Amino acid sequence: MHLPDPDEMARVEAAVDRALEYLVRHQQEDGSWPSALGNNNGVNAVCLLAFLGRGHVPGRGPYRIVVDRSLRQLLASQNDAGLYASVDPSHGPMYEHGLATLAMIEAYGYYPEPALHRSIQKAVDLLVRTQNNQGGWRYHPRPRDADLSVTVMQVVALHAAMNARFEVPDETMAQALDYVRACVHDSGGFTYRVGSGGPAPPRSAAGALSMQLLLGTQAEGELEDPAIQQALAYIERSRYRPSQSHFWYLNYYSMQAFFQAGGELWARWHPRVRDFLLENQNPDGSWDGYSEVRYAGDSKCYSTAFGAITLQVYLHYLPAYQR
Amino acid sequence: MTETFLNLIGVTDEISGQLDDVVLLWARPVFLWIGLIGVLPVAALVWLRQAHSIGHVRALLRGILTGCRAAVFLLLMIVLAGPYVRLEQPTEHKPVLAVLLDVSASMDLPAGPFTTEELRGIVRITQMHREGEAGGEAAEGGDGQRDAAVPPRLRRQVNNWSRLRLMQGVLAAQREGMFKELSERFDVRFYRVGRGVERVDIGRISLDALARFDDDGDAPRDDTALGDAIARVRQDAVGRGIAGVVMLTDGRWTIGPEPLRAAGAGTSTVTPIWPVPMGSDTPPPDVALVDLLMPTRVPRGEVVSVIASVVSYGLDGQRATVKLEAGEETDEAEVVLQEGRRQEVSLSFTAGEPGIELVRIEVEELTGEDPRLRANNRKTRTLHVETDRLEVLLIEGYPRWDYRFLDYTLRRDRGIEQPVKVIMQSELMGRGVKAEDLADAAVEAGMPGDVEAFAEYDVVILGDVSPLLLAPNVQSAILEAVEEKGVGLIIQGGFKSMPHLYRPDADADLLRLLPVEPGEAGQRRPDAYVRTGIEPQDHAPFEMRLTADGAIHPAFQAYTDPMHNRRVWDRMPPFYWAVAAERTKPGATLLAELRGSEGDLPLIAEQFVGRGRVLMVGFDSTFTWRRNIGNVLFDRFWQQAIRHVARDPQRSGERSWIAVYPPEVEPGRPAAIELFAVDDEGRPLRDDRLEVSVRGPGSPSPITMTATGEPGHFRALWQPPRQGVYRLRYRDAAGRDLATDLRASDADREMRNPTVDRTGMALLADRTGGRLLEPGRLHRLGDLLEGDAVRVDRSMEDEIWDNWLTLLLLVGLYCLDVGVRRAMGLT
Repeated sequence: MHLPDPDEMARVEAAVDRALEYLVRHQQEDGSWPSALGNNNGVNAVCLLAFLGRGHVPGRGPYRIVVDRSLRQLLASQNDAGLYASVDPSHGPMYEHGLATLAMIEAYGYYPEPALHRSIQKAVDLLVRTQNNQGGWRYHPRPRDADLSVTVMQVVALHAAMNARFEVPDETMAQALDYVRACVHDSGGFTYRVGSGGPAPPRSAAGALSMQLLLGTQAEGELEDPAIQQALAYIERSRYRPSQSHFWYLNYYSMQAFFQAGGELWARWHPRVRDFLLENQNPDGSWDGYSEVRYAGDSKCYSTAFGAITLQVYLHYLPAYQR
Repeated sequence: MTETFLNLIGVTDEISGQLDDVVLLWARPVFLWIGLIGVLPVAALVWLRQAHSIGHVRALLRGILTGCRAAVFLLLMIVLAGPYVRLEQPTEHKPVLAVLLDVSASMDLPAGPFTTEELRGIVRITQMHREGEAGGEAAEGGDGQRDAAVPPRLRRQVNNWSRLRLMQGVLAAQREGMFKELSERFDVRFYRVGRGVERVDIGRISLDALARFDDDGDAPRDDTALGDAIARVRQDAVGRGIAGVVMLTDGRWTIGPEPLRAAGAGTSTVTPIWPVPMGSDTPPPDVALVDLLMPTRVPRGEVVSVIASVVSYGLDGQRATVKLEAGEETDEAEVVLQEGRRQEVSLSFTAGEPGIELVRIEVEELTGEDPRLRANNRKTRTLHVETDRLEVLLIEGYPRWDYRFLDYTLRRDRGIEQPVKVIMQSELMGRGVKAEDLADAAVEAGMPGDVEAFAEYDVVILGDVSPLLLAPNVQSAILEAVEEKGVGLIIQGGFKSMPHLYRPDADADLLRLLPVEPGEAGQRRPDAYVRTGIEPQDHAPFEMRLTADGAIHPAFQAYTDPMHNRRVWDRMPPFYWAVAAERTKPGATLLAELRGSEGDLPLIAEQFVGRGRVLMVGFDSTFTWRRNIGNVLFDRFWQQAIRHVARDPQRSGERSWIAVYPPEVEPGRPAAIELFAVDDEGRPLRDDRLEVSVRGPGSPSPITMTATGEPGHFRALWQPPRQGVYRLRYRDAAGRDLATDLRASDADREMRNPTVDRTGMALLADRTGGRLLEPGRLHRLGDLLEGDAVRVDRSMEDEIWDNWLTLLLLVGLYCLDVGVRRAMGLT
C-alpha cells in the first residue's frame, strides 16, 4: 500500500477546513443547519460529524461553541421513544436517527455526561427494538420491513455503540449481518431490498461497508467475505460521476468501504473521489448538491458536510470507522 | 641599554620595548625653559654671593658648592616641567571571516555535471593554478574567460571532479589570490568540517590532506556538523566582529545543531552565512532507502508493518522494487519513481521465533545508478521477537476516543492475552450503579481488589478514572503491586478526574505513583464537562515536543536516529487539553513537554516506583497521532509503551540488574543506561552515584551513574564514541557480574541524499543576511562583504621624573653640598 502524499494531504486538510468554515457561517442559532428539508437531524448530524471528524471534539478548540450547540440541539430533539426526531423529517426518519445516533456516540467520547449516556442507550435500544425479523430497518421506527439503505446507517451506529461499550445484543448484529448478506446480488453488488431490484453503486458501497463492520463484531468467523470484493469490483466498474443518483451517499460510503478493504482497491479508488472533491469545491468552501440537491438545497450544508466527512477518511479520527 | 635604563626608572615594558616609536614630551615646558635660561644666571649669582660670604674657601670647592646649587635648581625646574614619554602605536582591528571547508564523505560524490555557464565560472575561479591540468586550453583566464567557450577536454575534466576536488581547486587558486586579498580586510580563518570541527592553516596544510585524518577510528568524515562549525566560529570570535561565515559545502548537515539556529537567526547577534555550493543542481542518478519505520519489539506471530521511504534522482518514471527479507519471510512492493519526491512503501511480514530477527530491506539497484551510492539502497534492522504474552488490565472512566482506538490496538496485538480485561466506569454507572458504590461494583465486575490480584497483570492502564472507583484501598494495592511486584503502570490523564480529583490527604498512594507533581488545576469553566486540567489561551493549541530522553525512549522509537524520531513526534497535531503538571518529580524522566502560551510543562514522563515502571501520559488526544497514517504511530507508541513498562522477571526480584535502551545507536548518539543495585543483603543501595565499566572501541572511560531518587535506581545517558559493540559491566555488592551490550553502528547518513542542498543553503543565507554564491561568483565575495580593518592609534604615556633616580640625584647633590661644607668647617 502506498501511503498518502503529504502535499495531497495538506490540500485535503485545507479543503476540509474551508468546508467547516462554510458550515460555521451557516449554522443556525439553535445549533441546526439549513437544508432543503428544513431543520433535519440527518443534515444536522452529518454537519456535527464533519467537525468531529476533523478532531474538533466537544468543549475544545476553536469550534467548541459550534459543536456544543449542535450537540445540545440533537440531544434536545430526542423523543420519549428514543428517536432523534427531526423538526422537519424526511420520508425516512430512521435515516436521520441512525446518523444522529452515530454523531452522539462519537461526541460522547469528550462529553461523557450521564444525560448523554442515557440518551444514546435509549437511541440504541430503539434500534434494537425496531429491527425487523429479517434483521434490517426501514424508514420508520417500526419492525415491519427493511431496506439496505436505511439498514447501513443503523449498522454503523450500532457498530460505534459497541465500540463505545453501550449495550448492544450480539444477536442484533448477527441478524443485521444476515440481512446484509441476503441483499447480495449474484452479479456483484447489493440490492436495495432482499430479492428486489438490481444493484447500484451507492447501495453496494453501503452494503460492503456494513458487511465489513458487521464481520468485525462477530465473535467467530472470517473477517472477509467474497461479497465485499465483488461489490467493490462492481463499484469500480461503474462510472464515477456527479449525476449518479445518491452521489454524496456514494462518496461517503464508498470511501469508507474501500478504506476498510485497503490495498490496491483503496489505492485505485480514493484518488478518484479525492481529486473530484478537491477540484470541484466552490471558492466559499461548499460543494454543490449534484444529484442530492433535493436534500442540500441552496444552503449546500448537506453536501458540504458530506464532502468534508468523505475527505476525512484520510485523517482517521472518527473511531467508528477504524479498521 | 636605554631600554634597561628606562625599565629601571619604572617605564613600562611596552614603551621601553618600542623605543623607535617613543617620543619625549614635557607637561609644562615653560619650566624647562626657565631652568635652561636661568641656570647660568643662578650659578653666577650663587658664585658671587659665595665669593662674598666664604671667600676664604678655595675656588674649586666654591665651584663645587655653586655647581650643586645650580644643579638642584635645574633639576627642580625639570621636575616642574614634567617630562614624560609617549608611545604612538597604530593597530588594526579586523573582523573575522571564517571559511568552513566541508570534508565529509558526501564531498566525494560527483560535483557535476555543470552547465556551460557554471563551467565558465568554475574555470575562472580555479584555473589560475590549473594551467597544466587544463593543457593550456584555458590559460588566458581572467574575466576574459566569461565569454570564451570551455574546451571539451576541460569540460570533461571539471564535470568528473568530486565536490572535494572542486573545493580543493578553489582553495588552490584563491588562497594566494582572493583569500589573501581578503586577509587585508579580515581575519580569515579556515576550519575543516566533518563529524567534528578543526581549525586549519591552509597555508601550511597540503590541500590533498584536507580530507585526511590521522585517526580514522572516529569516522571523522561520516557526518557533517555544519551547525557545530558555525557555533565554533562564533565562540572563537567572542568579543570580535564576524563579517561572515563562508561555507564551501554540499549543504548536507547530518549531525549537531541546526545551522540556522547556530548562526543565531532571528536574534540580534546573527552571523551572516555565505554558502558556496560545491556541486551542480543535477545529482548523480540514485535511488536511496532513506528511512524505515518499524517497531523494535513485537510478539511472535505479529504481522509487522514496515514503512520504507524511498527518494530518487535522475531515475524519474522507472519502476523500482523494494524487497523485504526477515528470516524466511519476504515481501516486496513496486514503486514508480518520482524525481526528488519522498515516496513511502508499505511492507509487512509475520514475526517468527522469539529472539533477535534481522530485517533487511533493499531497493533493487537500477541501471544507471551511481555505483558510489549503491550502499544507500539497503538497510538492516534488528527486531526483538518476544515470547510471552502480556496480561493487560485497562481501567477507564468512559469511552473517550483514545480508549476506543487503544481497545482495537490491544485486540490486534498478538503479544497480549485476549480478551483484555476492561473496567469501564461509565458502563457501571449506565447500569445504575451509584457513585458511592462504584468501587464495589468495579470489583464485582472483575477489577482486582488486592495486591495479589493486581500482580496477576503485567501492565495496568489507568484512564480518566474517578477516585470513587479507584478507592484508597485499591490505590494502595496498585502501589504495592508496582513497588513490590514490578507491575508496570500507565496513567493517562483525563479532564474529568485524572489526576486532579485525587487529593493529597486521601489519595496519597496514587499521587505517589505519578511521575509529575500535579499543579493547581486550571480554571473551572462554567461548561459542565470541562472541569480541570489546562487549556490553551485564545485557542492557540498546545504542541508536544520530545525531550532528548524522549527521543531515545522505547515508547517513541519510530526510527533509530533520535533526531529523526524527534522530528516525527514534534510534528504531531496540536491539542487543546492537558493535565496540569507543574514539574517532574525528582528522579523521574521527562519524555515530552507541552509547549504552549504558558511555557513548557511536563506532558509525558516516567519513573521507577520500587521495582515497577510508571509512565504518565498527560493528555487525552493521542488519537490525533493517527492523522493521515492511521494506526502506525498510535499503535507504535502504545504497544511499545506497554512493553517498556511491563513487568520484567529481571526487575521483579531482589537482585541488581542493568539495562540499556535503545540497544542500538549511532556513534555519538546517546543511549540511556539504567542500573538497579542492591547491597549484599538485597537492599537497594542509596549511594549518590556508581560507576559502570565499559569495554569497547576507543577504550572509553567508566560511566558515572547518578541516583534517580528512587532507592537503588541509577541512570545515565552515554554516547558510544565509535562503531562497534560496547559491553557495560557492573559488579554488585554480592559479587555478581552484570552486563549488557550496546551496539553502535553507523547510519550512513552522509550518502542518504546525494543532492547539493541549494534550497537549504539559500534559506540559510537569506535568514542570516548572507547570500548564496555560486563558485563562479566567489570572486565577488570581497565586494559583498561588509566591514573593513579599522586602524586604531593606541597611545601610551609614562612620566619619567617621578622615580627613584630624581630623588637620588636630589639627595646626592644635597649630601655633596653638606659634605663639602662640613669638611671645611662651614655652617
